[in-house]
Amino acid sequence: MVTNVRLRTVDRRGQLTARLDESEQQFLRLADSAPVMVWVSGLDKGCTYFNRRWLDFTGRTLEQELGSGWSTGVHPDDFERCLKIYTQAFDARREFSMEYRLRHHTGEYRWISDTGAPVFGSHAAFEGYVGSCVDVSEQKKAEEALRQSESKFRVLFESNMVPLAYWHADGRIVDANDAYLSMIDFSREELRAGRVRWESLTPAEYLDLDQRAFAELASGRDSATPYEKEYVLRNGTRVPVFMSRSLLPGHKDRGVAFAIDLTERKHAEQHLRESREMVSSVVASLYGHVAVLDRDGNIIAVNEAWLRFVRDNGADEAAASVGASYLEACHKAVGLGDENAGAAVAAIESVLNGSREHFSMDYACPSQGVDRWCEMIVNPLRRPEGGAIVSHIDITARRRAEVEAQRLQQELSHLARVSTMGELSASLAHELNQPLTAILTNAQVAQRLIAGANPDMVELGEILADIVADDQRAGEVVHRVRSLIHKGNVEVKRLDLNGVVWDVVRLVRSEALIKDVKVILELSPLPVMIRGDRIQMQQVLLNLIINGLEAIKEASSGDAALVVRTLLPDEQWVQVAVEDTGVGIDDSALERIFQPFHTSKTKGMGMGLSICRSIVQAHGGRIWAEHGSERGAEFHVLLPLDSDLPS
Amino acid sequence: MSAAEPTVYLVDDDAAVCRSLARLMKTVGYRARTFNSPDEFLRHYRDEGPACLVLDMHLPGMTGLELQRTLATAQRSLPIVFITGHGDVPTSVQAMKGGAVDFLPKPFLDADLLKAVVQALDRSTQQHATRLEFETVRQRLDGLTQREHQVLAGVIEGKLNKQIAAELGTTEKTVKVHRGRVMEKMEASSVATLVRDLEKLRASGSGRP
Repeated sequence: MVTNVRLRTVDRRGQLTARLDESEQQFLRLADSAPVMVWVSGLDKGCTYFNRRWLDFTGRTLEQELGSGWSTGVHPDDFERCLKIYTQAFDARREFSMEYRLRHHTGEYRWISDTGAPVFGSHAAFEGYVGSCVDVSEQKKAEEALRQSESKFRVLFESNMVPLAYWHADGRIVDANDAYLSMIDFSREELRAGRVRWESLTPAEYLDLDQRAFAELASGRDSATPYEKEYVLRNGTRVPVFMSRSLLPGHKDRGVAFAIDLTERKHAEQHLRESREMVSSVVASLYGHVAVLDRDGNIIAVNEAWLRFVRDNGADEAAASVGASYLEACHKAVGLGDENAGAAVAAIESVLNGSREHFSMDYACPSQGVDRWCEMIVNPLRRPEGGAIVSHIDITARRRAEVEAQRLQQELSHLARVSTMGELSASLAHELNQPLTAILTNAQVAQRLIAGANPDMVELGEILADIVADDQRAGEVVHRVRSLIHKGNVEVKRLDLNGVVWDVVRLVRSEALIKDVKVILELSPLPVMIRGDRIQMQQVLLNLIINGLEAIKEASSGDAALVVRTLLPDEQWVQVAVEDTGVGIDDSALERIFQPFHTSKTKGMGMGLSICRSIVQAHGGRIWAEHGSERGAEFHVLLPLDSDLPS
Repeated sequence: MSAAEPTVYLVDDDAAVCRSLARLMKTVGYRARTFNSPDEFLRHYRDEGPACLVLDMHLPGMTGLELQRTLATAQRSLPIVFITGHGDVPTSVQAMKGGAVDFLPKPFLDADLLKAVVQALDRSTQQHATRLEFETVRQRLDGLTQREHQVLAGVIEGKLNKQIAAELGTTEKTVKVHRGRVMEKMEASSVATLVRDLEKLRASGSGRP
């Protein structure tokens, strides 16, 4: 770039003398048209000339630049260095070369490469310096960019975040980072020894893909389209990788590659696929009718059972298939007077908006003239987008079994009542014999009176009144017995337990008399209200009292007594206690006596207390046995108090 | 109270039964008294002539059998007719062994009850007559002096006057006088009659010769 021209004469003040000769004129013309910026300095180091290109660059006049005027355009950070290089070179008459930033007329500093050479005239007389400058800003930027990119790449390479390798098309791996080596299970020593070859790591079926990438690169592209391939390790393990190749600048057959290990992603994909397949096959195989809703209540998936369910119910299949709004369908059903649909809408909406975690409801859904019951279950769909799972399960069989079990339970408790009444038959006969005796005697007295002369009509009237009263009394005994033996349905009503106690005590009055046991009632002065079936409650008390009487008879001790107590222990419960002075119960039997077929009697099924417990539990209560405070046993029944005011 | 109107005591815890039975007794001419429990009966009962007890077996406080035993212990011989609404063989056997006149399961015909009551009252009348006889013999015995008692003892044993005189250290003549007085005081026509009266008294357990 240095223009090796001679400058013959340059005026000190920068003014061209009249003695410019032809060659000088030619130089100046040349300099002005030169593609570089040119300067000339004199013996005093001051500049005597700048060509047109310089002046165009700085945007200043020749006059402004002459001498040391040009130095104002040099970047202050570069000036001292440049001045030193220039001065030292000048004094030694050596060529110099330096770079500095010079202010462009736009105000921007641009990098200039400046080369100066001493000028010697005839007889080798030193005449000054001539220099040429080139704008190297673009080059500088490119270099900086390259430097930065190289260092960035180095960081990437050494960080081992991504397995990176330098490859050669001949099959070698020239260099690689630790991440790459560990992925392919090679050591750095083996790499240095040149024993790592991508070719031998690549299963035959993937070599074509590599060749295609090389071909792409050979066609002039900087990098090949990334692709997935596999490496096969020495132990036979296959490593799926995502491969991306680029050529090294200036090379046709070598480059850099990054290979991202896809093993985990492949596993995750496989796992996801499997789990999706599993979920969908599980849903498909579910016996229940399942629909999955999005958070707006639209159906996003159903199983085969669901569709069958819809068809069997003669419902609109389209309205219950994927894409339809289930909520809307339910709303329509509400409009058509379906009572269950209202509850369903509320349930689904509450699960969708998160205010409820779980919902289930049993409902009757007669189908083709057959009684059927279903259970509807709504659970939230646990995913960020929300939603719900609605399932309907046919519970007809369960329901029938429940009804049947209930029927059997009622039958059993009826049987137990009949059996209890059988145990009481002797005392019931006694109870009936009293009024019958009075009736018969009275009737025969009346016959005698009528047979005599002048029967006393007043007395006859009294006798007839007594007969009527005693007959009614006998009728009541029969009625009480029949109501207990009668196989009626359970009728839950508001009851005063004190009244139930009285019912039962009337029934067992004779039994207690025959067994010579005093029955003491300590009843709560307040009504003891519960909700329950009168007959079942009578059955429980009857059982407890008869058991107590039996136990007392067995103990055959003096002053035998049975206490029946009702009390209100708190505001939520009522309690009935039956306390006897009998033989008592072993510790080990306190709980066992409530089990079926446990009996200490020679007669009886051993079902009495077990049935009592079923009845009490069905009434939301609890029954238990304790030792008596002195002797005998205590049976306690706790039942929920019905505090509602009578309607 | 006259002997022509015997008393029938009725004990039953059932007021209606009591009332009907009392009516029956009145109709046939007996005097009836009713009680609802053995305790009540025991508080009011006085032995005042021929009477019987119609007793229910199952009563509050004390059973019929217990009342029967109580009366026997107190040596109050009141014939009992048991009536029961719940009769079992062991109870009836016990009642009959305890001297009951009859044991009737409820309900019963009036004729059956009245038959038993008549029987019971007969027994009562008989018992009363016997007791009256005893009382007379006893009163006569009480009228004897100590020496007359001693002579009586000898006479009953069949001893001769001479033997009795020797034992008592007196003369045969004196014994003869005493013997005449004993026979007079005891209103005995012969020694045989005297011995029979005293035997009866001893057999009843209340004699103390």
